[in-house]
Amino acid sequence: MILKQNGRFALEIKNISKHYPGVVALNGISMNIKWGSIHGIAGENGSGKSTLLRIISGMEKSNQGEVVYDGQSPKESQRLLQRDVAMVTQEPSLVNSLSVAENIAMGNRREYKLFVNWKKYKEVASKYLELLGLSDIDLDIPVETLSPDKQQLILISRALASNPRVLLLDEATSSLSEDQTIKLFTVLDELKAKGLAILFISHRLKEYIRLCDTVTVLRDSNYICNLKKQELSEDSIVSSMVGRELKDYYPPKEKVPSEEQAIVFRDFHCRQVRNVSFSIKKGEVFVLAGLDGCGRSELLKGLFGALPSKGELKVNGESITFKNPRQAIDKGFSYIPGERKAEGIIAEMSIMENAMISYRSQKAFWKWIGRKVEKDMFLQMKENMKIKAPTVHTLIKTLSGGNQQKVVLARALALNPKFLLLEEPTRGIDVGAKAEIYRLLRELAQQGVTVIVSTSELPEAIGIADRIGVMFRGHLQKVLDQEEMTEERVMYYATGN
Amino acid sequence: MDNVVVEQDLQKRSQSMKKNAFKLVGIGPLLILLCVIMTILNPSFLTVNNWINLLNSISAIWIMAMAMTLVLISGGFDLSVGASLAFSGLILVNLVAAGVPELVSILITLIAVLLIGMMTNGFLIGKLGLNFFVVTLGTMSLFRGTVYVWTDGQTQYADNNPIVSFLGNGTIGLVPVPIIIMLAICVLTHLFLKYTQFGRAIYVVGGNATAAKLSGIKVSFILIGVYGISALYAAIAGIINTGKLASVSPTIGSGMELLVAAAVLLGGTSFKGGEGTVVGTTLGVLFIGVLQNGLSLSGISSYWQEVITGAILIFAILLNYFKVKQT
Repeated sequence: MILKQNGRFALEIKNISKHYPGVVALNGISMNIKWGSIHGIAGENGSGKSTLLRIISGMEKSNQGEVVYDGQSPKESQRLLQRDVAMVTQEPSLVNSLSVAENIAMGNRREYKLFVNWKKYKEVASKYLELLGLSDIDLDIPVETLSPDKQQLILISRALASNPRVLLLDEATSSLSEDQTIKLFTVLDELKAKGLAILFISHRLKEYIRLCDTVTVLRDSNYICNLKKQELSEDSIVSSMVGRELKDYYPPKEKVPSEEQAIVFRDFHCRQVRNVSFSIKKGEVFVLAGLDGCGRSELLKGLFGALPSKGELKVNGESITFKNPRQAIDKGFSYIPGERKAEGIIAEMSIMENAMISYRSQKAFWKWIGRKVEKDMFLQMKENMKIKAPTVHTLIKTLSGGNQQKVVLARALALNPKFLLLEEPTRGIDVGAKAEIYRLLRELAQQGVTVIVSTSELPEAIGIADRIGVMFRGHLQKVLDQEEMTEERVMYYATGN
Repeated sequence: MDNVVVEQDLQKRSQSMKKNAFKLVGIGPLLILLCVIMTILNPSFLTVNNWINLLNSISAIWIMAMAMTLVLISGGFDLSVGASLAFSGLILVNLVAAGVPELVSILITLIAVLLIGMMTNGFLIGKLGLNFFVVTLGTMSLFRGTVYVWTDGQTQYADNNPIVSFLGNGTIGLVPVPIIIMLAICVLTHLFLKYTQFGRAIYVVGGNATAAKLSGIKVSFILIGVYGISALYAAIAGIINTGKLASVSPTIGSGMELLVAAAVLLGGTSFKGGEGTVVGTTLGVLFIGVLQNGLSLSGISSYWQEVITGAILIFAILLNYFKVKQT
């Protein structure tokens, strides 16, 4: 397939805006994407990258602006894009119980007939899997039995099998190994030479530099700049992404934590976490870093009793195992989950009730709600944490991600915890709210609260941590002290060295 | 330029008018509209006597709908309430027939059905995490089957029980006792749901069970409690029904669970959990009561009544859907 190089842009994105209740996801974004190019979109979590791709693919509608495809009218563009776009999403979208062949062939909509041609299905599937270096896979087994990296390659194969002219890749490489990524990039380069327009999102800056002809940077839902191939460097991308001096961003780490051992792990096991032994000091901010799936979130959940664990755990010198979160809460633990929507907020309730549910769970169930006490307590937290909401009865779902996160944090703090566990505490929230949360965490640590954070964002880890524990495939690879912390060193251990 | 501004302004205004109009289509205004129509069709609809009749006839559904509201808020559903109603009536009749004093029989019935609800539905759904639909479908069949086996399909009679009969047929002044019980339960449930730790926790569990668990709420305890209350309320309704009819037929209450669910859903409680109020359910029950009462007053055949009831229910739910979409 050779596309006409007719001088038209593949995609002209004109002044696209998208808002959800209480949140602006995209604010007047415009950009042009050429045929036969790989166009990167960079930005921090929550900057609107994924939303933009979903709007191009037609999975979501924008509130304002239009997407012009190959110079066509907006309406015609929409119709043609449905035919010509393939997208690899961040969220898994395989049908778990169906076979590899079916999952790939379902991408090829134009081949849909009344009867299933199984032979053809398998031909298509094996063709694309071979391209990506997965020729030895059994096409008949259900995809749920495969490892995440293979599932990811199947997702990509499905997108390729639909013969797209526009390919949208949203974090398509996140679970791939280095070899697999290199293979994929070779395929992408070939597709580019054939004239496809490819949009690419990654969390590894190096991949933008290796692959992209142009990178558009977004920050807080706004367009920031376009970087050409020759301008691409990690520094140029990062400084456009963050847009401010890092030293204002993170609070200074003043007080040296005490030497008192608050939590000691010995031969701790939980899901893929194996034989982890280390200790955390009272009043320090300890960050668990590592790639997705390295076990840092399981370690936190195991500590909190949300997942079954084995091994020895000492809290303030006392040997203990938490069978459920409630037991951990009774010992002064609080946990803030990473998936705010799925595990954090109760969407249909007010911000005050959302903040009070932990506090209430400590009361006897037949007791009346102390409305006055709760309101006073919440108003004080609302002010201290700068939660922006019209009244205490505002439904939490109408707030921005940052304010929702602050409410979830308030819920944990209402218990006056001695140990605060946070998972991805700033995922998908704006820079202002991030700085606010960093400040709060540091204040808590200074008051003697032991803060344990699990994060996938390296700058954040280094910015807030007193010490960093780097994990790799379920093992604690290395604990880095203040002086040893650099992004390179964390990455070095996080990739298994 | 000015024209554009004016146009936008007009557009905004027409949009907000649309929104305001939709505010009026909630179940409350619909209920008033329905009452007006029924009064026009048959003026005797709007008499004290008819309303006492109406409320008396929906008392059992109303009581069960209160509990069903809790169940739906918790994110579940209870198909077994109709069967529980029959089951509790049967327990009561047999206890009394065995010579147990009436008050004690009533107490034993209530406690027994509460415990059964907690140990079957509550335990399986709350503790083991089984699917509520399958579990209550099973217990529905189990309870109903037990009633058939126990009675051998025969209606059991219970005359000469002054207290039970008073609960079903007695009046205090002008007002029948079932209505008084029903109003008391309605108020109590409202207060319980709105102002107690347990009541609020039901919303949290239904709204986001994972968040509830991570915040230290005993999710299984809450769910066991909710299904226990559901069975308990069905037992109260069962005792009142037994008093009213002075008998228990093995088929009593079958299909009632769906009517109860319809009332709760009409009242704005949603199947996805975490939402709903006692006030809404009250309006939903009244809507169904007025519809049935009005249709029988106007002399429409009972076959057609059922068709019309179904159509109007779907219509009401549709309006509610458009309302939610608008806001």
